[in-house]
Amino acid sequence: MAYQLYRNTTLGNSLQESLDELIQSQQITPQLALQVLLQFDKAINSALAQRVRNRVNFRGSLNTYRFCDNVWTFVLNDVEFREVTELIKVDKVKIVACDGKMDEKIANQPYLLAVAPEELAPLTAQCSN
Amino acid sequence: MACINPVSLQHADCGKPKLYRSVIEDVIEGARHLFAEEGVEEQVLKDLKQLWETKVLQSKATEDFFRNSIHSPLFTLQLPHSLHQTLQSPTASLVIPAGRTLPKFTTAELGTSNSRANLAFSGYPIHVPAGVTLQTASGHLYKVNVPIMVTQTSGRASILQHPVQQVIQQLGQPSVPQLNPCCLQATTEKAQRMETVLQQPTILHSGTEDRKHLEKATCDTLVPPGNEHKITSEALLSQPESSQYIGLPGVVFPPQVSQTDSNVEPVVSVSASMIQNLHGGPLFKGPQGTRDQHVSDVQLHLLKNRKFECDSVKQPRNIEEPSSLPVSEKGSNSQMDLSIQVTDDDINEIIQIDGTGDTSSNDETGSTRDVDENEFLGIIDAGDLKVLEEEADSISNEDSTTNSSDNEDSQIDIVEEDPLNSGDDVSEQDMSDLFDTDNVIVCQYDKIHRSKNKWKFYLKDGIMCFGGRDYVFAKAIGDAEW
Repeated sequence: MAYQLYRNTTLGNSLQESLDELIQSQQITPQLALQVLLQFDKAINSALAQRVRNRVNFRGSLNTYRFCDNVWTFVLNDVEFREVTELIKVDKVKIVACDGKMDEKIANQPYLLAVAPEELAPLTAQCSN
Repeated sequence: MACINPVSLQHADCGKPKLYRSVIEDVIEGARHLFAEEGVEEQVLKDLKQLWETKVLQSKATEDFFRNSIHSPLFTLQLPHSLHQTLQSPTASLVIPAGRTLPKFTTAELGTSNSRANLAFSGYPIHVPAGVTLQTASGHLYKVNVPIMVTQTSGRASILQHPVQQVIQQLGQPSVPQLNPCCLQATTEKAQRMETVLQQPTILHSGTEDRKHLEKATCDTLVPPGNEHKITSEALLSQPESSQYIGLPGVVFPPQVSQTDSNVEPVVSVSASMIQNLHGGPLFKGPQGTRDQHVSDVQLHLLKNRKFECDSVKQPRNIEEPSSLPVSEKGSNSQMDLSIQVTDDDINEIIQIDGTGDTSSNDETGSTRDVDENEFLGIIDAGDLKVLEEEADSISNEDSTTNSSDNEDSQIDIVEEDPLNSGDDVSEQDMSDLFDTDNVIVCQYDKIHRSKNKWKFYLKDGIMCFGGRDYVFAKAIGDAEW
């Protein structure tokens, strides 16, 4: 199950608002709206993992930190975000971060075998037979 | 609206609209079978998509969501003088017509008009044909029976040329809510019964599936003359009662109130940021911002509640412990004490006070301090529970020979730090105010490292939102000192 972390973003909030409007007008059920949100979670998680490639660096001063339920919440002050093309300065920013390693794929990793390329060919040849 | 993003930022952002679009597409496609299973019509799915896209466009998240990235200048639409006179009853409606690639609004010329409409567009002339109805969030309806033309002017207070005198009729209740990405912003100076409701268009009336049209023709609603259409802004939906300003999607809203003559002068501000996908000016940001703030406030409130619940759970425990002690340790005297209200003046005389002498002038303070000193009195009324908990904490934290001044302070104001230790806390309102910010990053962490007070953050797959503008990153590495 994908993180519901991204629901509190512009994209996520606008989807929730739209769904709320449809619920208000009784065009959809709350259950259906929930299903749509789950669909959104999957889509945004996979989109971020696969379609985004840029890197950002930042520096600032840490005001508060909190680690609860494997979720880090930081509040930083006077932060500078640097990307290749731009520099963004903010006086206060809140970072909410879920564990990036808690992934289903990783949970299944014990079942993955590492095969060297030279060993792979004979194996596939056997399979095709 | 002043945009702080240089051109380079827009180049950097150009991947984001595609990302958002692809996410929207994926979600809608994925939801298609869900809708089918529920037996919901396809049209509802399309409505959802339109609503969603409109809201995203309206926000400042992606400024170059559309091809064009021109900031929308502000126009002033002057309505004919007769309009004002005819606007006795609140039934004028101004509907923005559907345009394919350019929002067209034509405003009628008015030399002696009292009312003005401020329109902000992306630079294209705006044509408003006859039969256009404009309804503001405050419930005022304006209908334009004569085609009006709005062209770009310089400055906010400029008056547009109006080729045709416009007659605005009052209309009754608007019939069909017209979905249109454009929102009209109207302000009324005086309370009138005029109802102008700006309905945020969310569905392309043309029914075209073309994204270009969706992107460019936010005011894409065909209005047959004579039909009344309601345009309700998003702000209206969120704050129908309080706000007279309705934010057009992505439009700058100058808080302009034109006042040529007496009487009410409805000022309609229309910003066609549809093309721009601006978040709108300060006015629109008001309801939107407050709503967002409201949401975050709600979340903060929930957080606070949770925190307080945790704290409150601790309290009874703290209280129970002292209450259990006196029963076990004291003899019959304590039993007698238990039956006596702590706030009773007689307690001072009856109860043997160990520890520091009671020099407090406040009997209640003294009694509670006695309780605190001994922690032996079991009967504590509700008012003293808090004090006891406070003092129990203070005692556990400090030396047992805490002087009376500490207790007095905690009794006087439980929240206030006692003067001796007041310097320990750097800031007292960390939790409530600190977490309430517009700049949020939601992401995942690969690794968080700390060495003394030097923190290193290795983050990934994040969406950043600074003042409404969105950024994304695959990886983020940061340093901070605590």
